[in-house]
Amino acid sequence: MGRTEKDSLGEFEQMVLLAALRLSDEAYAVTIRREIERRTGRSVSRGAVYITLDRLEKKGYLKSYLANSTAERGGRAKRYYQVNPVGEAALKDSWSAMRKMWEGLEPLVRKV
Amino acid sequence: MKKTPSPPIIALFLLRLTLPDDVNESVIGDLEEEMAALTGRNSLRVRLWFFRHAIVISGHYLVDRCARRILRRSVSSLQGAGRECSVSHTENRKGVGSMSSLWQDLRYATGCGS
Repeated sequence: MGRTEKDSLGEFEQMVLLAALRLSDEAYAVTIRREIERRTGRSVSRGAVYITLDRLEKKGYLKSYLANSTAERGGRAKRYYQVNPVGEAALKDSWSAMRKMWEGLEPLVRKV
Repeated sequence: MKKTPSPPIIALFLLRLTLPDDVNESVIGDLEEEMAALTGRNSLRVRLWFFRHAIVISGHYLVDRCARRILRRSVSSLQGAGRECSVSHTENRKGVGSMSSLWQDLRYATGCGS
């Protein structure tokens, strides 16, 4: 399996992709940020989410589309995100790499 | 029913100035949606909330744009230096000298170049 530099995901990029994958049709910046905060208990900057979504889209891991403009949004559409097969493959690669790094160190996690 | 205050005009102007055209309206819409959920709070505080987040988001985009520009210039100049090193480095025929590997690390870190 030929891994390229493009396949390597940073920790926050992984979180954003995983949140988008989990939220499926409801994945847009607001829900993605809330999902990450809910699951990790960490405060997440809105700016960081937007920048990361842009970057992931440029890398081809996500595709976006506009839909659902509402009055509470001033008539502005939401930008929804979907994880592409390339993005899913990159997530699997990252998971596999981390699993290999963690091999044999599971007792360390149990201690925490 | 309390009406949601309108976003500060300066904040809207800042977002439209700093964000790419294809995302600025959806980002503004997201902030308006979250602002609407804050109804019940003091109108001034809600508008300040919007303004603060507009500044933070704009700041992120500006810093990201500047950082990418600087890194791209560094990568291109190191790319040139890396090529020179690989030609002159007689011991390593694959051209992996210290400058070449630094250029590769930068390229990896930024996702720039081919």
